[in-house]
Amino acid sequence: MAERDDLHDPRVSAGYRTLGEERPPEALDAAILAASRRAVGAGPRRAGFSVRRWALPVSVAAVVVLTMSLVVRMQLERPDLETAARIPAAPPAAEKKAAPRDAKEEVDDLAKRNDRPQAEAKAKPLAAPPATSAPAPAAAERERQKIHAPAAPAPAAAPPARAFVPEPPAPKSAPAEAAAPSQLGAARALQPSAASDVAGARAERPSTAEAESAGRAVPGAALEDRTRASAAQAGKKDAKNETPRDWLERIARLRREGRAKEADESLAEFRKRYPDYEIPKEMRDAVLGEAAR
Amino acid sequence: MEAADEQLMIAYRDGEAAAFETLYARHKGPLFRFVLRSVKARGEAEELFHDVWLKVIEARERYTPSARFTTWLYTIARNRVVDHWRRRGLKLTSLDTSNHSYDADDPPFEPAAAPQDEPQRRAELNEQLRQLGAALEALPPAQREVFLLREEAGLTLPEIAEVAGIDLEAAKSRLRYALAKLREALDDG
Repeated sequence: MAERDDLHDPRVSAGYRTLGEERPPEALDAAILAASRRAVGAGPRRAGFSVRRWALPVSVAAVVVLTMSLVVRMQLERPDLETAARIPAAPPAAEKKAAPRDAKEEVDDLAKRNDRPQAEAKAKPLAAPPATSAPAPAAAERERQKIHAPAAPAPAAAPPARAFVPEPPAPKSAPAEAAAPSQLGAARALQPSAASDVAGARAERPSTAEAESAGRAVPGAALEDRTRASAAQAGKKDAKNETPRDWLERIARLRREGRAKEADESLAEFRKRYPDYEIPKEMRDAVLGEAAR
Repeated sequence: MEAADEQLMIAYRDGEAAAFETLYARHKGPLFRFVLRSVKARGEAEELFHDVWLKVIEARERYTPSARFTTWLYTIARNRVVDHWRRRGLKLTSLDTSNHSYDADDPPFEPAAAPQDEPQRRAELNEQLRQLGAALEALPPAQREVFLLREEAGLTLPEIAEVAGIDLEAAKSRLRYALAKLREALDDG
């Protein structure tokens, strides 16, 4: 209580109040208030400050949004290239699955085009893709071949295209060369020998490659490559579906054409595939060639 | 219900000039008297008073209501007064001249001479009040500062301690001595 009295004396406070209620002069009041108004300014100054404060974040956000939208748009507009770039990493099983379908579509496409008059074939634009519901990887593979395939045909020294070797129809034993990206199977199938092989196998048809290349306005090499690749795929398909007798006839045809080496290889493949098959006597000479004699 | 000082200051910080006018009207008298009775010369008091409010205006962006606005305002004012003394080259004197040694390590600034440049104001006071006024002017600055912060700003002792940068006991002691001298002046008058 004593401490409170020590620290508060109403008589002193009252006496102090009577000393005067001095106030700052009005001019000083006006100066200070004017300074306070200047500091915050009117509306426009405040708005300007606000714009300055938000200018940088808004700019950064705008750049980010623009960049993202551009990237997304590019991906949407060129999905095939993106897919093609990812193909090498795709599981081989998917490629095995996609390849036969792709070949079938190519065969169908070729058949349709061969059945048409040549004039119509000429009028058809090159870039028009076949109306197909092929899976994306297959389409991407075709695009990749179009882009990356060399303009000139593969060197003659290159090994023969495996696409023309008859393969067992069983999916388990079917090699995935046709779809394997490292082999660029379709590109290898561009060799003249391969093309002629296919032509031989389907002798009733006109030269597909020639018809295609004559009718397209695109650089011939790319077109030819693509056509031959399709033909190779078709030949492979046919080889898988042909009967042993058909196969032997094909071997005999190869021998007649003087392509003994290819005939021997095909025969070896045939024996692997049909080890117990007995070659008919009437075909033996034609199929086995000198070995029969 | 009147807006609190802190709300007004925040409103002013956010661009509302009218909030400052309310705040200024509320505090200009006590603050002016605090400055005036700290430096005694009216011209200097006006200059310091102006500077204090300009500092408030400048510091508005940094203002956060972590303490009472009054505490913040009088801290600015007190620092400005101390700077004024320092710039004037006024010597430091210990408060021990009045037989207390509680803040020997925190000597306040004291004007070398108390200018009596307000004769007209003094003449208006009666003898008792003249004695009180004289006693106030004669108080050691540290004691006078605490007394003025209590009477003009209405600060509590902890707030006074915060503004003056001293501990609570030192604030109590200074206030106790100030009141004793002023009471004595009134009794003598």
